[in-house]
Amino acid sequence: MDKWPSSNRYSLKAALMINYNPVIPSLCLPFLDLLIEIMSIKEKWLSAWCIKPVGGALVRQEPEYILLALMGSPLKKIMLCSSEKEIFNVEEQVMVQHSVIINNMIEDGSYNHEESKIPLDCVDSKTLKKVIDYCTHHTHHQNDNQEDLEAWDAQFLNVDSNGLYDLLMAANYLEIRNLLDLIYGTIKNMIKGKKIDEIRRIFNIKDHGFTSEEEEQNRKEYPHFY
Amino acid sequence: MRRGPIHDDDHHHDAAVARKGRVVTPTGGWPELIRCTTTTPPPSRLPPILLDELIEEILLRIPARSLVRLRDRICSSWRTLISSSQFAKQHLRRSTTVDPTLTHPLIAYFSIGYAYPTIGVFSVPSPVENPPHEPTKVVPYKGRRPRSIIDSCNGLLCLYNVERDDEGLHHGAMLWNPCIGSTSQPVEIGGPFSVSGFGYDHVNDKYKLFGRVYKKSGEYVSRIITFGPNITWRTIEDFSCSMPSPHGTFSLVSSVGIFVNGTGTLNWIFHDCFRYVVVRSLDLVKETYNQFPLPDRDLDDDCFMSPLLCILRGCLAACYENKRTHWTVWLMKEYGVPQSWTKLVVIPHHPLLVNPSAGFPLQPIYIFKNNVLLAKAPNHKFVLLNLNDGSIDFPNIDSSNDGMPKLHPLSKGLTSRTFRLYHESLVSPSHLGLQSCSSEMRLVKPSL
Repeated sequence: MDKWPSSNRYSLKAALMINYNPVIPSLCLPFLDLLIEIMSIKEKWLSAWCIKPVGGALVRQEPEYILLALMGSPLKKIMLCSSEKEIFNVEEQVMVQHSVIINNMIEDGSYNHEESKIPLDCVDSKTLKKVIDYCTHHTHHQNDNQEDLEAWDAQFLNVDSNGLYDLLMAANYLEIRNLLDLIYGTIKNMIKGKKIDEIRRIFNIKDHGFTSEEEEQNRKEYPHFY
Repeated sequence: MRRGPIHDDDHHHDAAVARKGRVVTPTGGWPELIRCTTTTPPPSRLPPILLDELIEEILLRIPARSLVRLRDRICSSWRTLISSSQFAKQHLRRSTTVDPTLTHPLIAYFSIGYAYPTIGVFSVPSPVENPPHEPTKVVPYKGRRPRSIIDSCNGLLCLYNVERDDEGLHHGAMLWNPCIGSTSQPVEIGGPFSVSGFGYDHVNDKYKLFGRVYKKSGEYVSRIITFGPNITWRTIEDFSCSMPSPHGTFSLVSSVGIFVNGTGTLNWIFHDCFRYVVVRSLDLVKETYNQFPLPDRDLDDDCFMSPLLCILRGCLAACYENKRTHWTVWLMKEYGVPQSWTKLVVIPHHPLLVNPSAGFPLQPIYIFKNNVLLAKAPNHKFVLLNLNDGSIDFPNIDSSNDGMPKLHPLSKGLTSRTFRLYHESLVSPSHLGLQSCSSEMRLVKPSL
């Protein structure tokens, strides 16, 4: 562990002991060394022991990388490239937690942190920024209460129709399950209780594909639906 | 942003990216989504194209009754999607596992005494939704009157129908989905049923009807009828209506077996007059019988009255009357595991509910999320029991238009009627490969 100054290892141990009470008493110091060694190989195992310095005190926060946080080095980032060739630097953990596609790419090992950027040709910069916003907020505020998160989501989706559509396509492309569910729910609520003509307008259905007799018959029989 | 269908892996630089990109033919265009904003989209943008699969995801989140309204009216591609068997199955799955608001429970009933050609249907009165004193109206579905409703499963009601023609009597079963309005042709069952049950074989994806048929020869035969483009009959080991018990004989209590979804089983209670009860089940998949015990009864219980089985929260449930002072509702949390019988609730007797002369049990029907139980009380009225605070409410159900004038109103009691609970779904008999029935046999709702 040559990248690890020894002072940090001791502060890590101290930090773990202070904050992670349920676990630490059962761990002897010697085992902590082994644990840290293992951690450096598979950083993902850290998620259970994530603590981050916040205003001087060490606060349990997940899933930040504890090693990196204590070392003071920046969190591991990845580069996403929008269709307009703009590069976005995002915390790897944030994107990996939300996007199945990005998670697969990283796990696959095909992504080289130093050089590669992930091209997202289907997502423009404005939308990509919003998506990153969503993922980052939901990662950092995982432990917030439900109402606060919902309020934030509602505010987040306060966009125009094209923006919503772009978000939906991006979420679908990147396979971000919770964002997709959120958008589907919003669209479902938009069409709730609306009349047929309005729904057609919402989905921009210009050609309904029915014969004119069928259409006329429907309108005559159920005028209040239209 | 490049507009167009999602392009495939060729355009990616990185190797081995598992993409779910199936190239989908676009439907119509999309948005001018309603939103209170004054921004207008820049004119240089091309109309966006919405993928079929995304529309499907949105529609899967809409309740069945709204989808029925939209199905034939928005556009032909929506109609094809919503009418498809695949969509119906996914919607059903979502409504049972993810989002119960996608469906609603309703009650269908028919008259026993008078042969009215009507089946009355009303929404299970919800303690939350309806304003307290506005009555729930019964909607009469009129058509050729089936002899009875056997049972319901996944939104399909199985109707027993008798027709006479030159050759004699024909006993048939029809499948009806009131929500979407499809009815299948009667399927010959071979004779009247003395014992019956209707359920779904989840292993083979088939709906099956079980019946103990009384043949013309005077013999009984137990048969499983599988619905499909080719109806099949399978004779199985005969269902015996009585069995030896520790002190005598167990006899069958109710002729219709209760279907437990996800297990493929029909279940009947057998009762002996000394308080022993046992459940006999038929596995529609394996076509074998099994039996398992119910919770023991206390020595001073009213043992002449047998508990009835029902389904609550997806589990098999039984309601016992104890010591003439209260009822206990038991839930079998894990089907087939007798140790998993758990007490759901103890309901004390209430003067408004008990009918001392009648000797009828309390029959639970449906339990809401907020722990309000809809039941049929011993005095034959529908009652809403709040299990949290013990309050009782008799829902106001207006049956004046149900097409059964000689029966006294539902709110006075359920006598002379048999009812079945069902949930709305989009499953159509045509998905099972069944033909639609002729127009004079269809059960039709009055138009609004």
